[in-house]
Amino acid sequence: SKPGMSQPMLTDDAADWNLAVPAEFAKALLANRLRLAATAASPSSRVGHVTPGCLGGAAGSAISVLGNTKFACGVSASVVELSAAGTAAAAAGCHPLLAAGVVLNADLPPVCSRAFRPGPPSDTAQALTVQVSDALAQSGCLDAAQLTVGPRHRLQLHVDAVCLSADGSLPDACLLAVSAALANLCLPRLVVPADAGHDDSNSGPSVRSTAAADVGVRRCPSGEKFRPAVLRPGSAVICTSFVAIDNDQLLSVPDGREEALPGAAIVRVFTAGGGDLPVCVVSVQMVGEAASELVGRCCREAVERHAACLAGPLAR
Amino acid sequence: RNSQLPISDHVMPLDRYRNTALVDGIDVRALPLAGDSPAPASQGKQQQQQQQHWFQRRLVQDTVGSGYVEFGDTKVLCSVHGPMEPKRSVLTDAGAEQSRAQLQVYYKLAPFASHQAGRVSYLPDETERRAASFLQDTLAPSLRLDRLPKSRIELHCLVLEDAGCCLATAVNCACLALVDAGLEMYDLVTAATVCRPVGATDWQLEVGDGSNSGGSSSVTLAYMRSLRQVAGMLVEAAEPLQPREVSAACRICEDPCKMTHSSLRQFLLDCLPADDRTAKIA
Repeated sequence: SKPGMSQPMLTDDAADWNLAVPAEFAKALLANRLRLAATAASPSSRVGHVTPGCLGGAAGSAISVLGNTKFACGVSASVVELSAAGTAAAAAGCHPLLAAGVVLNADLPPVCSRAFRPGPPSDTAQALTVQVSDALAQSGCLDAAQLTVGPRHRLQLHVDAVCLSADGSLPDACLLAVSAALANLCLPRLVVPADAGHDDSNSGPSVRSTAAADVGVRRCPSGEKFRPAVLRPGSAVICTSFVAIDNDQLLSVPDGREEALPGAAIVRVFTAGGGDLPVCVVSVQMVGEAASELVGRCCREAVERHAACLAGPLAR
Repeated sequence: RNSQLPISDHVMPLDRYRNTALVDGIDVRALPLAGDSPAPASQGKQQQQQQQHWFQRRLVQDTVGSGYVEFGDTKVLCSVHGPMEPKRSVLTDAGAEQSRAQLQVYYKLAPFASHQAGRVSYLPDETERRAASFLQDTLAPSLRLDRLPKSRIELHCLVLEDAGCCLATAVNCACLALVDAGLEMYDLVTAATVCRPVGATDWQLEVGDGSNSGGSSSVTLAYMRSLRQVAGMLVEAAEPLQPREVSAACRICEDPCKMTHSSLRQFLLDCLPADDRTAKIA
């Protein structure tokens, strides 16, 4: 293998065979209990690796590595008026994550793969954003009360997950980074002065004040920091992807080549829990057809991997 | 999307494809301190520590070449795509268009990259377009584009954290990515930035620790050490600078560029297999 490559190189004949008939080549490898995916190299590579707090520009940050797929997630916080935010959320009928004060975006820039072009987010990026947002909203692990600042203000979190290298299992690596970044969140201590009053009769969604003096919230002069437990302590939201071939063989945490196998079904299992919350399956998404026994097996393996992630890269 | 589209100052560009906040908020870093107390004095370092570059290649799987550079706290990732089919343009001469490859550079800061208060917008702004243009003008002369006729090379640059000296680090990272992609170059291009804080008279070398990123003037110099040629220079100043001031800044940049050139060259040599490395040194 070349230095710096995390996958073994194929011989010329094997590469030609893989190019001509990728499904047959993959079946031949699986018959001999071989996988080329970097996530299959060891049990720890299947769980992934997380580096929290590595980006100084964000209040909470993490970089996740899952095989050759890498995500960087940064969380920044802003203060909004509670009355204006609540009225706007009710009126818009927005996503529950937005209503809770978390604005999440997953980006797949051209730097991570040739498949993505400069410009507005691709369909894959928008679908990834929806998947991750839905998983977080349905998980029950988010504690929106931690974002309250005083009686009239609230923190609003901007969670930006940027893909650095795309090679399959994108929701897996993305949620790993998002969970670690939210757990890593560290903000300056905020105080609400006693004389900061507002006339509620004039507040509403049409009143938007961006001047710092009108917000009424201040930073603690001692520079004290605090860590809001936006994700309940010890909990996380994890995605585990599987590729089912011929309703028989199951490949966990597949890479891009295995996900693109013709005739294979992709099963994504979203699990949540940890700490005081029991680990449970939040949702299962399938592309293609898979037998119910196979889906059940996916759920069981996903729960096991969730526990391994909590004990490994997401251990606090 | 990185094209030079005129955008009125009075029109806020809309982003219809991403989740946006329901209500505009104020970044917690921009909030004033309680009790009308003055802001604490910035803990600048009395002596700037000599920062080292940290290089890494082949981080991105689905590209021809990629590079990652850390300089202090500044982190930049670059990837190269191509050669691919060129873009047709009715404005360029057909013969010139086909005789050499086109180099297209995209430069973007991640939303969480800035150490200043506030997020970076997903839509590219004037600063990023200017940086992309500088990278393109600096790197194009160093590449053997005539060896790849009728083709196009794309260079994508993503800044993960901007703690100062961001553009120079991007030049170094882009050079590493182009070498990793196997493109022929006349020489390695390395860069350094000096800035002059408000009220100061001397130029200071920017290091990626965020200590002097708010200077009133800055000069970024890109240099090819073996050829002893300047590949590019970018001067950003609120007031016009005298020629002797600019030349003084360039002289200060020259030594860091040479040191970075040596570090980058040694890193690339260390990446070679042992047999090739011995032949190269011999």
